[in-house]
Amino acid sequence: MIAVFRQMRRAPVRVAASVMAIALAIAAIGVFAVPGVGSQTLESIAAEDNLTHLSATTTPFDELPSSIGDLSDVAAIEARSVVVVPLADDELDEIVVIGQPADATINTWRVESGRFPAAAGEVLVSDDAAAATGLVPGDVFDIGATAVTVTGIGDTTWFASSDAIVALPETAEAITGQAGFNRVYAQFTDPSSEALDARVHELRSILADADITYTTFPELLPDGAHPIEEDLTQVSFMIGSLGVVAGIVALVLLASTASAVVTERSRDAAIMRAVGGPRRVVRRDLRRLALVIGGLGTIVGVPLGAIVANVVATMVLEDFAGISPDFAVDPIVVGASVAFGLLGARLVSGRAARRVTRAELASSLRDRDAVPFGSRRMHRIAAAMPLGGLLPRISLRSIARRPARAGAITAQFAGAVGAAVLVASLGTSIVDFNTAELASFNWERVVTPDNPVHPFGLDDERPNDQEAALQVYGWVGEWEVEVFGVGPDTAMIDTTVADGVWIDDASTRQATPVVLAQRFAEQEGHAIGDVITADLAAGPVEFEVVGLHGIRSVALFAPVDALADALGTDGYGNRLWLRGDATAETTPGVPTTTTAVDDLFADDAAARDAILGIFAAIGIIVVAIAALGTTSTVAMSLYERRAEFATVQALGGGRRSIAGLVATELTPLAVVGVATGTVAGVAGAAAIMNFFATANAVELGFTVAWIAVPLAGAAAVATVALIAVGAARQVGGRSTATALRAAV
Amino acid sequence: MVNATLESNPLIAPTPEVFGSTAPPLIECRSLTRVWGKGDAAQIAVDHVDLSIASGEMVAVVGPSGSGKSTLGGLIAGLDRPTEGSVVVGGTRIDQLRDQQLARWRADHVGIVFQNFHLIPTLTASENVAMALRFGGQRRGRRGRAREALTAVGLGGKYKRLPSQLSGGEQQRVAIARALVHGPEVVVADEPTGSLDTASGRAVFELLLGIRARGTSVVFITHDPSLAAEADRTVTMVDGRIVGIESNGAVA
Repeated sequence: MIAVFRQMRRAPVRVAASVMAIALAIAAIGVFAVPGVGSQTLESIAAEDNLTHLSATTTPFDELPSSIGDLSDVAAIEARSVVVVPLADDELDEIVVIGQPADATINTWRVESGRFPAAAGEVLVSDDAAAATGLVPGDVFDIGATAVTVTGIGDTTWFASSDAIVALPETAEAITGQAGFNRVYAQFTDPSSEALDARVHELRSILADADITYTTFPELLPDGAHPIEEDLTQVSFMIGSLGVVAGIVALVLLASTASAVVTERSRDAAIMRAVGGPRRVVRRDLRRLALVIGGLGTIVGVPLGAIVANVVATMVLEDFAGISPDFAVDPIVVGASVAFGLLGARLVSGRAARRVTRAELASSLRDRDAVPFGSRRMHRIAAAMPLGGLLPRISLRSIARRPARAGAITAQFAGAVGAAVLVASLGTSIVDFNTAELASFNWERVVTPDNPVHPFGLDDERPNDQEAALQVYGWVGEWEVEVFGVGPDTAMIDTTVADGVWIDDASTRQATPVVLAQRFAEQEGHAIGDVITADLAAGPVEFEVVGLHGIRSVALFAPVDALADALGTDGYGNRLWLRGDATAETTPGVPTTTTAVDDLFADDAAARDAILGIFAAIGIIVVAIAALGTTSTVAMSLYERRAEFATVQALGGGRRSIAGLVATELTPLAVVGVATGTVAGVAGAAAIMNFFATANAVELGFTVAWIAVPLAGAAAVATVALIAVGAARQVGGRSTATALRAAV
Repeated sequence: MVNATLESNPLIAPTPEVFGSTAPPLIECRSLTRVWGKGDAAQIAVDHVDLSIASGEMVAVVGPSGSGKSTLGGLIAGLDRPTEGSVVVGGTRIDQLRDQQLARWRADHVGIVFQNFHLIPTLTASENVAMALRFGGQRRGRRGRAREALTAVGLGGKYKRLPSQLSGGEQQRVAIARALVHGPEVVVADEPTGSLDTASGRAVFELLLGIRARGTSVVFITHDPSLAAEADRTVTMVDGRIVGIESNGAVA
């Protein structure tokens, strides 16, 4: 430690720069903590709200049947009513009204102010609705014909970001006009994924005995998961992929800094050896110095990394879940960061110390950086190559003289360019995917009921620009699928199939005909003629695969009548697709939402922009660290070579010569870095997109953002020019005599 | 062998007209002062020095460490700028030149030899010598002239050796060849024998004598009184001031 303080007195700026470089390297690793921090937050909220393991939306019922107690492994089971009510309000078009018994324990609300309703006519308002309307506890307002009193403001995970009120069931019934309940929440002693799958069927059967049916396939949250945790995991994976780039850049930065810390002291080491210090002792001192600087960098870098992780996690959670997380720390990443900082510094400095102390003593005393040129075959080959003029020869041979340094600079250029190309290519691919995702639809607007009802008659006569359909969710094997019930002659879907035929007459088939998304079918091995089973709300339904479609989602197209039969919707659909000037058909008392394709694009664009914003933020972090690393490494290189520069000055070389020397040395490294970074960035983005395509069984496509390459190249050229000019200014800023003296 | 080479090489062969007392001074330092640092930390390295050196004259500068010898040499060589006073070399007031002009002036008019050689480690011997021609704007025949210069200092077979493959004496000879190759009017040699053994030091000094013999002024900074005695004049410095100038045994 004393040695470090001495060194700090001697060269405070360089020591501080080394500490900061290592700190930044460690901070970059903080990106890996984003998934952990995000999950920690979500799981903490899930635990706080005592989230359900299974949520089933059902047909209305007065009370849960007594046989519900037969459900296996059940720990708690409760009923709710959840109804969307239209409002004639300037601030809100509609509100979710939740009927919840006072003694409910599952999916509870966090009361932020006031209290939970205790009597009829009292409601607790969600913080989003309160923010939109300005309601506060004590206010009285009307919902339809019902006057209610606000007792509190609160929030809950299940209805996060919703405009909602929660009240006792009788109050809810008064507001909505719907008696009883329509939702079942259940928690189990075994909340594993497999067990929950089994409970879905068991519960369906128990409810069916009491004439209660699922209206949608239940939502499952195995093992205390949060509803958006899976989405977050995927976003986190992308962030983690960028973290790998950040990690590589960090590794190079750590290696070059730790190596430089030791190399800087080559002359000191040589002097220690000259006065009789054993190599082992000298190496130990050098390692200790690097270790202490690495330790200081770790002390600064770990909190910095935690801040990076929390800033990114906050961006993710606020964008995707509307949650502002508390500050959290991922102990595994913290441990890894500490190990990275200390072990990395130890390993790299050990290697550098061996190199420094193994050099021939006389050379070391003469050559302060202990890198005599000519001792290796590569040096001699480089020296024999008459490359260009004298200054270019100096530059290019310097690369051969310090291959590790050159490699570090190249890697840092590659890291920055790779991150830029990767982020840009992911962004371009996501934009293209969003456009392609809706390309299979010919409708321009869709009317959707806000409650799980089926208000659109499938056999009703409609003009050509309107079509009723079904859109439900279910499971095929391990995959959640989107099932579209459409007429065989639909004009609202692009019926072009990649293979097989479009859905046709079910009577000629062994099961209801279905057209599958091609990527999903190929990935799961479903071929034309195969019979697959889709687990829908009403139970398992068999389909015969008749065609493959290029839609960019995990989707099935089935004949709407057959699907309605299977679901028991009595000839009614839950989607009304519109084209041209068609006006939305509404059913009195049934709140619906009409969404234009443009709005879907806008929603997609918003989600995409959120992801891109996060990527861009991480990309900027990576590029900034790479830029700092490059600057630090080049600064070290210039420091080591100050004798050369001073000699060039003494011989009559001006600033331009110095700038030329630096630029000539950096240019090939930058070129290789840009090329390597481009290849790595494209390959990385392709791998990430392919991973997501496989993870989601969706054809995502991949578009390389080639525009990023010339931009990255231009940035690299600008960086080289800036460094070269900066070096020339620094070198030329003092007298040649001073430079020569300092170089000795 | 070195002397034989000297005589046969036009770069450093003796000229008929050598140092003469009536020749106009090539170098004129007037009230030359160099202060390092500022305020309380200011340190006067060279303190109002007046010195004239004629063309073809070899002046040895001696004095204890820290007496300002190297600083004076740097000022004469245009490596540094005086805090006060002036340096005129060959009619050019070099202390008033701008950075680029001064760099070009060094490339054209001065050769510098350092105690630590200051060779570029990644360039071969001939390439190091050719560097001096490169900044002088000579584009053609650099390699030939560099090899001639190396031959002249006795390194005829070692053009392609890298500095790390040469001994200290050989490296200093490369440095001398580099200082001479562009035919400078002035050579400033800052303790050129300081890092060498006696034989190598002597050989290097002989080379400097040869330079003087062809009419080039030599400022020779040394700690070795025996070598200084062989110069035309010996300037003694203490605490940045000239305390004595000895010429052919007589104090000026």
